Amino acid sequence: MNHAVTITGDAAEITITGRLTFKFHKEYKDFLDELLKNKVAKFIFDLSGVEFIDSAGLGMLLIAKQKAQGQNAAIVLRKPPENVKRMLQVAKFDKIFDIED
Amino acid sequence: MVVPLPAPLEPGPAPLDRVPFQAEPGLSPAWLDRTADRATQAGILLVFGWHTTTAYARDPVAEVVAVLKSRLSLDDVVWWRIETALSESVANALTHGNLGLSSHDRASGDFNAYVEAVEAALADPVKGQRPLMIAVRLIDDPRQAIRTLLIEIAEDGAGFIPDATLKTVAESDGAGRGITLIRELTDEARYSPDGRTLRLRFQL
Repeated sequence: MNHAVTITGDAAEITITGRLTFKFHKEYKDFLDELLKNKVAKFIFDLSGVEFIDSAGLGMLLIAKQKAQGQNAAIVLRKPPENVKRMLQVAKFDKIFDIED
Repeated sequence: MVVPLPAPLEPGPAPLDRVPFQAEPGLSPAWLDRTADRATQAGILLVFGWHTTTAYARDPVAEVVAVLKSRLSLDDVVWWRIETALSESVANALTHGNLGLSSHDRASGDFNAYVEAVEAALADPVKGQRPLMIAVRLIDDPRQAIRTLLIEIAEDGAGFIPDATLKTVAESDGAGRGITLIRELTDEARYSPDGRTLRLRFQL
């Protein structure tokens, strides 16, 4: 799992690539702690480079949402590929997340 | 080190070779090819094994799926079902089985504690070295033009006895999501009596 962050004005855009699975819990936690130091109004997660996501990955997105809300920030999931979209739909995450194509 | 394979839960139509578990530093592609070449026409047996720490360092699910994709032609949705069910199974076998961790709370504060618990368990000399084995069989039944893909995931921890009352993935929250996903994505998912081997069946 790789990540890159770009801050533009009031928003942070996070590009995540690779596999978002249980084995990346530690890397994700460290990255999220760093990310949330940015007091922006919106976190945009670009998922276009995510090859695969498991239920732990879904949990990681949920935690990002909870922590963002704790800082009064919105969160958007952008361009999930087919595989990832399927998983988000099965978990009904399309009902609780703002997802942009 | 030779570890007996988990006994197949039902006999297949062709004799299976018992393949030794190869200890660290891991399985070479040449070994896998030789193993596959010994299989009969009616079934292919592939066996993969890693210690838990290696399983975390590498990507066992990606490795197994890559080998399967080189031998089978299936459509994208089926590959997604197989890879997702396998990923959930492996995550459970490693975290709950071999590392002995209970389902973690999704609340932010506890997430950090969970990550620390995983690191500590991986560093434990007993838990970190427990084996994870994945055995794959493809059974062709020419009479019925049916192919069955069986994947067994075996761990050497406490085992897992699932709750009989499983909700759908959308209703379950937290750690229950993995098991319900496995049930939804496979044609059958069955645990051995000791809870240490999970067999997934996909009708192709």
